Amino acid sequence: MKYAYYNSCSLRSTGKEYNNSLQHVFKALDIELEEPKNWICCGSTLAHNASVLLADILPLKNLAEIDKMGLKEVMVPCTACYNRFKIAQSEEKGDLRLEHEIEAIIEHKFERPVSVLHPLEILASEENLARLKSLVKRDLSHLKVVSYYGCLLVRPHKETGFKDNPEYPVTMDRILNAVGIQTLDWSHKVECCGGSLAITRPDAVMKLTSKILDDAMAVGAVAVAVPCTFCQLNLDIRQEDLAKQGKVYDMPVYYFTELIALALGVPEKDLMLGKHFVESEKVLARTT
Amino acid sequence: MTEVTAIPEYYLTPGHISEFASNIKAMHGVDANMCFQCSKCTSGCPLAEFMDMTPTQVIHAVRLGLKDVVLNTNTYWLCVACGTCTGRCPQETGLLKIMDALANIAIREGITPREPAIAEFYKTGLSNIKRFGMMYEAGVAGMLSLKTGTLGRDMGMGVRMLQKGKLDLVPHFQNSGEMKKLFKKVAKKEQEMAGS
Ligand code: SF4
Ligand code: SF4
Repeated sequence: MKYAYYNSCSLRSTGKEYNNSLQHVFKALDIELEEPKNWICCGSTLAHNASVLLADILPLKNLAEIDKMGLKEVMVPCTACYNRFKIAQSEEKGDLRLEHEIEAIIEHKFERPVSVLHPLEILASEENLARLKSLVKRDLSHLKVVSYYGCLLVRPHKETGFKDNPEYPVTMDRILNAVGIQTLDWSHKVECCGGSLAITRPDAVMKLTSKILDDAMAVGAVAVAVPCTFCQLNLDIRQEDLAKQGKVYDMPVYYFTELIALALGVPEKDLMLGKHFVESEKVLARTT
Repeated sequence: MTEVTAIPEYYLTPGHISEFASNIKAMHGVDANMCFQCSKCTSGCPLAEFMDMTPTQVIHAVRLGLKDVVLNTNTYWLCVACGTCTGRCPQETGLLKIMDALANIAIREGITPREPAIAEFYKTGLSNIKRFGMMYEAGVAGMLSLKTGTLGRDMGMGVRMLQKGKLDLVPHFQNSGEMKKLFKKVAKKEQEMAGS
């Protein structure tokens, strides 16, 4: 099994630990990942504000490179990239005039669309769930986690087509359960964390993140699992500022791939848990 | 006593769509006229409480053709494209794309942004990916601090991220020649489309 792997900007900087843990998980599953050499930034949260055409061109150029590699499926772990890839594909399909213009600019004609998959969608197949279950080496059943999906993966559902319910997704829960981690029901699974306003409007981001963390606390979670570099950063780094306002959470925010890797027996020292702002190793130690 | 100014008359016969809304429809494929003002978008919008005009008001104002009023709000700058409005709208108005359209038009027409830091962030970020082919986050944070004078605040976050090794101090180039070519082609095409 082999997927193209769009190992993009944020996974090489703010989300290094996401990339690292993801590689561990896919290696354990014996799934090969190949990075396209000629990739470029997909424009993510930036391009669509200035130019909707550019916002479509950048992801489609990347998909053209993947098409040229002869691969039909690409795994896109950053939810912002995933969202832009899916929106660009749906717009290209929706408008014939646009389709020709885009093809001329990227100098490529797609014979068939490249399917864009989030690692959650790949791991949630019955086959992969069963394999994950059989590979568990470490008991993490004491961990009670809330799965936080955020917005970019599930919305707008008509465009992203994420294979789950957009208002109450369960994919991440099922995967974590398969490796022996308990997940809790809660009401903030798909609420927005403020995303790209991280540096420019910390006031807004703090308000939104505190609502999410409040609900996680209320249901008794010891940690949050996320599939997105924006969510990880916002929920993690802002806890220090919130503590200054008297709101103490001390709630580690893990990439879901880190939790899977831990359950599969990857030692802590091989993961990059030290990159988290809220100390995450204490919660794990409390158990074993 | 407050003086009652004349209430402007809007041309709102059923099926009418303002020139502004028509332009947005032609360029971005979203029809503001579909909106029946149920406010579901606003009740789900995470940023609504920080916005000058709610999403519901924005779409109505677009429908009325109040271009200047809408372009001078902070609303479309604060929109984080979370898709809640669009995902839940019973009329499938595609409000999210109207927000994009407004930012695109405001930039093109040189409207002074009501959220200068956010506008600057997008601008700096975009010129950064154009230059390097990929995002150079430390560079964007640094440049943004210099330009908006928020050095202390951003640096607090920047320093913390540097300490965790989450930002690289040197930029990497990633297929940047191709990126520049694409930017150029898109700009040319957009000029053609605006002219036609
Ligand atoms: S949810 Fe849709 S129909 Fe309702 S007010 Fe918002 S845009 Fe209009
Ligand atoms: S996409 Fe923008 S306007 Fe719509 S709900 Fe999200 S932040 Fe609000």
